[in-house]
Amino acid sequence: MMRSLLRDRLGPRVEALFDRLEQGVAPAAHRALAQALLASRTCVDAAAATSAAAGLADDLAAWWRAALEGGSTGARAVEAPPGCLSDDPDCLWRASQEEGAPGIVDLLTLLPRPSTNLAQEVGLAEKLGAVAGGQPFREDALAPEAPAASLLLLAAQRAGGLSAASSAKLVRELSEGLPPRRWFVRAGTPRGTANLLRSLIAAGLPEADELLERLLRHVEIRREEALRLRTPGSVGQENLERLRYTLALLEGAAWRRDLRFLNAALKLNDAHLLTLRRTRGQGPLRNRLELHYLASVALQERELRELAP
Amino acid sequence: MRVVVLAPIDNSPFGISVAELCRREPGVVVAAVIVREILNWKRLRSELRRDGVRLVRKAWRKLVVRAAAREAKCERSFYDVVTELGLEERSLAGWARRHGVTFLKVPDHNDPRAIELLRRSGPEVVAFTGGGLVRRPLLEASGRGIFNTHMGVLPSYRGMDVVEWPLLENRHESVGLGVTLHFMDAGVDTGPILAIRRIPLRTGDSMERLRTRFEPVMVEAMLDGIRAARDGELTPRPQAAEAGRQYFVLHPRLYQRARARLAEVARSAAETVE
Repeated sequence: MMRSLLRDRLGPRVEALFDRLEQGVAPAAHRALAQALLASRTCVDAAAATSAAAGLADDLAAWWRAALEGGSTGARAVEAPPGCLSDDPDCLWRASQEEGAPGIVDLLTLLPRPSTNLAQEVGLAEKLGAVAGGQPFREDALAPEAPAASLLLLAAQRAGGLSAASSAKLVRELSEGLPPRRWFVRAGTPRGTANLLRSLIAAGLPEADELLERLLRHVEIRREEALRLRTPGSVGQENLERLRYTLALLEGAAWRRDLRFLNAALKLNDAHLLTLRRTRGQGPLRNRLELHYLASVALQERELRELAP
Repeated sequence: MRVVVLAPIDNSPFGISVAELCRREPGVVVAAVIVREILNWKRLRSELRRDGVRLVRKAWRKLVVRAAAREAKCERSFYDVVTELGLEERSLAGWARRHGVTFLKVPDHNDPRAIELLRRSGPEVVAFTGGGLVRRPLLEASGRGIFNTHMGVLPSYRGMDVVEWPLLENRHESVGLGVTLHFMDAGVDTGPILAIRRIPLRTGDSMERLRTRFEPVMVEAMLDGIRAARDGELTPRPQAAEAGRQYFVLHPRLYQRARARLAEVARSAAETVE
């Protein structure tokens, strides 16, 4: 009798509650936060220190808005501003240190696809080659320049500033000191490897396949414990690396048309939204987090439409 | 031939069906039944982490309102198999007591007491009817091995939600939906394949109806495997690691898309016969 009472009286309400709870983070919640961030423009303006960066920031914001609203993004290509790759690689190197406000280097890594503005290689390959030669990503230790190296490499790839051959050569050199089995371990993930994986994907290298598979298993099994950083930094740095890994999954999903990666990215983005809502803060790191979140959610929505219509 | 049955809970209809059918099978003896404690914090936490709200909903439907069986009334379920067998008991503890079979309840099948009981029981095979991961010591104490009925077509679909994933990936025809009987190993659904039984789609299928349709097939597949083991007719086919992929619990947005895909497909599905 109790069972039939529960079933008949409470059943429909309980089922409706379960429907709501199973939905998890509602898509509308992502759209609301993203729209709020785009409306306030804090993080977008923070990255717009130079005119080249300002133009790119505006273009990216428009692309993200269109992707979130379900509009067509295909016709709109966000291109790297001509000449944004300075002929002073040291300037770009300094920009990739992430100690100040986000700028052109960060924005370039958030381009939804590589730019077709093939700019001249301007000493970047040599600069990066010099860093790569020291194997900044190593099994036993991470060199301080490793995260900057992977960030700059990805930015250069996205901007179209490296030939396919240079791109493949450099990313292989950067990553060869760190075998795949050492990327996602209990001791922690080396900072900067998310952008390295994105570079491998951007270069279309098969090494990315094994890493994506390992990443997938790591985040699906370890859940909220996944992607702890090996060298403890701030919580914000850890969250930034997680956002970059989410972008890697989304880019891997599009590259291999593999819905499992999109599935994992959806779960990660839900967690990112909750983290952003829960934490407050201002400054360069917060701005970077918000920019990466915008890029990630926009890419997620586009891929949902394209891969799982 | 001696068999041990592993079950996820004491009143598992799958577990009790398999135990009873083994008991009735000539030349087969159920040496022991080992079930997992349901009210175990570690288990609840681990399953909640993995399945989230879906687990609570499943428990609500199965235990409180039996909604799954009601919705899928036109499909034979585990409960129907139990009813058809004319069993008075619904609990494995009661069943074991009635038939003089050794019964053990443990927090986890990998518990040392379970492994010790397995060694003493000396089964030729173990029938796994659910209850989490099995680790190497349990595998090594299980005679020829542990039979599992996986709800997906192996090697293509390993892991979780493998009824939904083929629909989402639009491979429900090329790969198909079905139950795979296989030996368990240390990997996730990577053990040698013994048999595959396809499950057809039918007009008007919902996810609940479809999943229910798997249930009696899982029982049949398990018994067929046990008979084959008894008769020396097992032909395990090893799986190549690269022959399939591991799948995980679907995010709600993709789960809804899988449901929508099923509704589309089921509007005009004709039953196919393998």
